[in-house]
Amino acid sequence: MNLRRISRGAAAWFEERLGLNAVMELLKRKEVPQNKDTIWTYTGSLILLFFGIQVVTGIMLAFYYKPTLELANKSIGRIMTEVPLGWIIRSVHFWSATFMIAIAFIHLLSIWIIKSYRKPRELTWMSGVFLLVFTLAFGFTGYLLPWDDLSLAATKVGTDIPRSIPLVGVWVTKFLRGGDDISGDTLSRFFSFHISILPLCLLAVLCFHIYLIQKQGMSLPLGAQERVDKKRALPFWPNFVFREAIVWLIFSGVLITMAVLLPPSLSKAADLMAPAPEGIKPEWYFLFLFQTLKIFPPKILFVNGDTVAVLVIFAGVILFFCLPLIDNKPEQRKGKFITFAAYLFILYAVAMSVWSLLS
Amino acid sequence: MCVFLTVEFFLPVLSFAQQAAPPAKAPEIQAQAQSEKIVAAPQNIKEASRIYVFLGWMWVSIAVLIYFLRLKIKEVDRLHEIKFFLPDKK
Amino acid sequence: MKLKQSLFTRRQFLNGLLGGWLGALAATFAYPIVKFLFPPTPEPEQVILPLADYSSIPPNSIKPFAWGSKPGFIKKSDNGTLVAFVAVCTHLDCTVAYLADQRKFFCACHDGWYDDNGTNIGGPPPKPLRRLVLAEEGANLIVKREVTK
Repeated sequence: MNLRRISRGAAAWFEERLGLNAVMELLKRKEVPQNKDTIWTYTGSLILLFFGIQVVTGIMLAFYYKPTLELANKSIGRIMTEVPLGWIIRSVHFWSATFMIAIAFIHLLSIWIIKSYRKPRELTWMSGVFLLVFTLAFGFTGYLLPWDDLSLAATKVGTDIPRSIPLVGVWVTKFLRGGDDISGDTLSRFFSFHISILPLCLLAVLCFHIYLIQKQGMSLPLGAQERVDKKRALPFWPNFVFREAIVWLIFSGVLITMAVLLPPSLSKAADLMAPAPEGIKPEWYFLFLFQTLKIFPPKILFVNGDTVAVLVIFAGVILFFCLPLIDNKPEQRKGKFITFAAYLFILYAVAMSVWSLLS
Repeated sequence: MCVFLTVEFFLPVLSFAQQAAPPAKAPEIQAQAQSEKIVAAPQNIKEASRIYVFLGWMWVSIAVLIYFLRLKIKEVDRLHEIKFFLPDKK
Repeated sequence: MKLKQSLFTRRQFLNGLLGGWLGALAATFAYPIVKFLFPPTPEPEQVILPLADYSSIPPNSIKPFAWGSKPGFIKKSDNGTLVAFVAVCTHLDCTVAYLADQRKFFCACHDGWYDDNGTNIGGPPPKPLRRLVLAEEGANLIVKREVTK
């Protein structure tokens, strides 16, 4: 009985019962078109790679992290100093978060610009917007967990913003904070969101997002001719997967290098009674929103400036969510304007972020 | 080939295995805990140099793997061209 | 020595090289993960206790103390000498109790018995209780790890 025969026998046993060869056949039949837009198809799976890294490093950190007011900061300090190579695991988790969010934005912008959300892929876009919201929520909730001055201040500001929404605002803030103010309950709540609620929500929507992509296939660029493109398409397995493997290797290498050479430090534990530290800023991915809020005057007509700002941003998000429905004539002027709007948004976000950093 | 791979494989793993265990650094840890910030860093020069060895090994491996993957890509692309994978239409 | 046939094809060689090197790289990533998941739990070299608290216990009684993360006992024998034990049963790690009237240590988990010197006399424990070295220094009682041969 040699190893090859045993493994073939085992595979056949499982195949008879699970029928998973069908999945492999699907992956072999699935095709990835080869055109000028193909490079952007690597962004989706990259997000998945970084999410996987987050889950693994997150689980490891959760083995030692203690989510209470008294011990949160101390337990991370212990991870960084006493647990073998703990500082590297924490650093990888920190950097993979940045990479994941950055690639998520790039993925979104590429879809916006090449208009992959056209019929029948509207739901893929909409579920994608949810995925982006969950990803940002991961970043927001995770940022509080070290419980140092900066994270407390950022969370105070961040959970205060919904308060300016009329009617429901106060309740949103209370729900996020577990009360009117930030306390140990806030930390427990954020931890629960970060390791339980958000992963479940993200996985559910992700399955839907990926199912749609498999079912509908890869989109073609605007104006492409299907027959011509089909000839040049590559099978997903093994051709595209090997190319993807190269991309994954390079990005993982960059991630590990940055994690090892630029690890995050830990400030001392937050003091709920202390005044806010100077120059607090949210993480880089919230800077443009933070600056947007700042440029609104305190009062517009008779309405609170913050309320107007939050409502404007909220309206923007709704428009954004409905983009495939709005862009129903992609080749015409409206469609061209929407593409131009993507570049405008990039310019705006970068400008606002830089302004926020420098001020 | 197997011998070559084994040697390549064990070399960096061994370097890690000889890593000094972090404890017995109680006074330093206390000093850090009381200071304003805990800076993440390797704890001693041995650990630091092992990390650099690891980074070097990682990038060398990535380069080698990319070289192999490019060969594989050429292979499967050529096979796809001659329609090797498609079911026979007979 | 020339073989009649190749041991493997060129494709198999390339696949093996690719898979093998990928495996080696994965192993070097797995190593720090495994180290992280198994932190070292060293025992302390010594524990310093206030002598007054322990010298004042009645004879033929014990007072517990923390030996790192394990429980320990300081026992005062009938003639007043102090002895230190690690109060962990040598069978399956339960914490033992001292029954003063019987002058025996008893482990409730599986009915293990030790005499008042810690020697295993009944039930499943395979070895005597671990003894630690005691020293008195001024106002302190110093418990040290036993000398290993």
